[in-house]
Amino acid sequence: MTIVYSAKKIITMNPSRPITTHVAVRDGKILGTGDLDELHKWGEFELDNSFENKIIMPGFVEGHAHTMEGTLWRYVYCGFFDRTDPDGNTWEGAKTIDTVVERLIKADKKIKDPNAPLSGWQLDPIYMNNKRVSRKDLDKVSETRPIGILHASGHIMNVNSKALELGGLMKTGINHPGIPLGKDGYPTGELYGPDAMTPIGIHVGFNRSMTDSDKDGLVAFGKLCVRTGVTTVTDLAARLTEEGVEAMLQITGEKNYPTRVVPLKVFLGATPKETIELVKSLKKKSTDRLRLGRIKAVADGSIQGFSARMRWPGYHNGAPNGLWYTAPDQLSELYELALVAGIQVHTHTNGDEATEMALDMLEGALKKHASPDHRFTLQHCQLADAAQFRRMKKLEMCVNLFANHHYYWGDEHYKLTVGPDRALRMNACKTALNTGVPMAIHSDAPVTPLGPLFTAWCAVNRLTASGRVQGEEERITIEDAMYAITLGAAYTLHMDGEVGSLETGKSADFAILEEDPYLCAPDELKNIKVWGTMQGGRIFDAKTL
Amino acid sequence: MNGANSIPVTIISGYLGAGKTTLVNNALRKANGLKLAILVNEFGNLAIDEDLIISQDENMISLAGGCICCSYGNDMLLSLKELTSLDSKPDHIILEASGVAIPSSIERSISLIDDCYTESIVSIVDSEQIQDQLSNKYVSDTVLAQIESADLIFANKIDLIMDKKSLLSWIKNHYLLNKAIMVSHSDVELDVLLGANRQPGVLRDTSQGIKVNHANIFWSKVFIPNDFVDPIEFSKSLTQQNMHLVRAKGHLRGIDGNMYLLQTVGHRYYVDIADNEKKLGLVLIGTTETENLDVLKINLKKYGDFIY
Repeated sequence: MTIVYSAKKIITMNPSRPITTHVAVRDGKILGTGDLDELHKWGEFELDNSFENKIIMPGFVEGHAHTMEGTLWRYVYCGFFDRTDPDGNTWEGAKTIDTVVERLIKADKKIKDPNAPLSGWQLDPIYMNNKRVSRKDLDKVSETRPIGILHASGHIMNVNSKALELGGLMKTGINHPGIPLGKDGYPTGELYGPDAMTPIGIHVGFNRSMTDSDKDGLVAFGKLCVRTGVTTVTDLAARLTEEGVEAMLQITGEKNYPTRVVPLKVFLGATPKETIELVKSLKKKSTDRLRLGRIKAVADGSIQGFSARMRWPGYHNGAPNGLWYTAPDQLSELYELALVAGIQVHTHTNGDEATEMALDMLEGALKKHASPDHRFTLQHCQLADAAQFRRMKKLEMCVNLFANHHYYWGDEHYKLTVGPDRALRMNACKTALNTGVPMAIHSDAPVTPLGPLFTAWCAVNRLTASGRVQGEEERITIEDAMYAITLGAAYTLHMDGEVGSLETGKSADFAILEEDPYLCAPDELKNIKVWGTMQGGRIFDAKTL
Repeated sequence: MNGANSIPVTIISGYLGAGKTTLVNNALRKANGLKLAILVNEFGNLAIDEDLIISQDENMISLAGGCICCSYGNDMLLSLKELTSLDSKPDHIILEASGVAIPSSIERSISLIDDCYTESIVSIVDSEQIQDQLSNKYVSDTVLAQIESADLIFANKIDLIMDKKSLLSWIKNHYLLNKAIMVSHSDVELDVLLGANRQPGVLRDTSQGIKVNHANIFWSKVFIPNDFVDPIEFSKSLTQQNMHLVRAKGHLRGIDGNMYLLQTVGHRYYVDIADNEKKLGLVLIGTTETENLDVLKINLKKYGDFIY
């Protein structure tokens, strides 16, 4: 059966017919676009006018997110900024530590078992004049149950005394850079880095499978996608255990699961050869809504955590250079084997030395195994300079820049981590486009909220949280930003032939909007309301999820 | 100090291709009754004879003789914690760090776990590659940090080096000599790698060492301390550079009359209260780099004497 949907305006991203009024859908695919007369030529159809006052765009593609955001929402939201949960409730940002504590006390009262852990997430003291949270603040919530709050960066955690006690760290004499001590010689309750977080994390609900999304988490994440117009989303560093894959297959296979999920197997704890073999076999398990068969490698750490690898002159505040998470030789071996096997690799690089290293390793691998259209993609790639973008172009790479990061931590980078010059070029969208590097932009949810229109707003305006425009030369147009969150991201996944634009034969994936992003003022882009989505011909109304 | 039941952990560090996995394989082959737990980043090239494997799942291989191998993937500390809480506790844990890990930060993390302690950091380097690696623009600082935080450095693949003299003098110029030991094929006596795990009475003078390919030859001697020795002062003497000792381990009676366990490796030493029933005596391990044993005897005279 064919259904023709009318809309106030349909933005297709199809160069042959960029704007139209109707779209015909059959068998979950787009049969055609145009006016009613043209679509009549396909024969009988049912006309559906439910969207006649809406704007239809290709469903958004989020090229770098983590489905664990769905899991985190069962914990207490402690973030500074307002944020909407999977059920559509907007949580007001907690502006002070007292508010965070009050919120935790409320949650504490709801848990009957006095020893059960209480977990929170997305705390960020940077916005609270950098006032540190201590275990004593959290002891006000409870002295009997362990409490842990994960920071927005994911690299720091605050815990109470009970949690320290359960993890065996409520003692004096600890000598560890990740565990600051108070005047009394006991840990303050702030834990930096995975090594300090792990022994305590298991007692406060954050364990090793934290980055995996469980079934409920995946369902919740699907709802967030609908609310933000996303119809194809990556899970960019999945462990993909046998169990995990089975769960993902089951959930995404359910009749009403609204999103196409693209999990990338993280390259960790297995040799390049083993990883390639595993991903080759996973690829065969792919379904329409679960796309397996790609690899994510991690070259370095994070800039604000000072673990990113920097070229000269290094960190602005003089911090020592960061760490390699993957050895150059190992990355090189992975690239070579992946090119031969036809498996795509996305590589996390934050510092410019990490980007340089990945470029060198891929260049070497490509000289041995020339592979047209490999589309290997650098993820984050926040500090790349113009010359590095030129090399990406030469090596036929793609880039997915972290536009949201600029808003949330741009001020910190300007003042502290990299200094003014390099802060201006962070996430250089304009340079990428001018150089001709295929580009996407991303949220890295849950690090920042999922929401391609917000991500587009970040790239278009380059505002920081304090309201400064940082790097005005790197701002891009609304048109370029909208391309980046649809076809741009689809291209980095080799999926631009099936999603990212509304063209005959492609999946009927729509973002259904209340307003026209092309006609709004650039600073209004993030306020555009999403009605819901269509995915594979199925309609999802955000209000009735 | 470490509790009596605390499990020693030896961290094996080194860049890719240095020979870490071969070293671990060799240790397993030589375990000889010692219950080793091996923690590796990935099973990868771990060559375990199939007939030795009793059971295997995704993260753990159990071997005949009580040894086990675990892969820790992204969670080294949690795996370590699980190892220390096993019913059948291992005698010694060997942790093979990833090729880009900085062992001193692993050591700090291990300090957060009760029931185990870092016994030593061993860094293994590829003697053919090390000079290139230390001038490589990406990994030089990482490799240098691995060497600098090591208690012992194994200069591996020494058989491939034509001009051993110049390599040796290069190492001497860059690192303290008593830390660097020349080996080939990652072939190291278990006592050198992990410290002497046997009682002095059982150990024989093992001067046969490794004689292949010009590698260093180790010797071990049993030293019987006088009664009432200050364990800290004695440890400091043993770890002085001019002693050229690789390791020392054993028991002595302190000034306060208590029995102490003393362990040294390179410049590192541990002193711990021990069971009063322990037999007095230490095993000292050195290499043929120790030019004159008499010097050693004279320096240690005030603390006791060698029995062999």
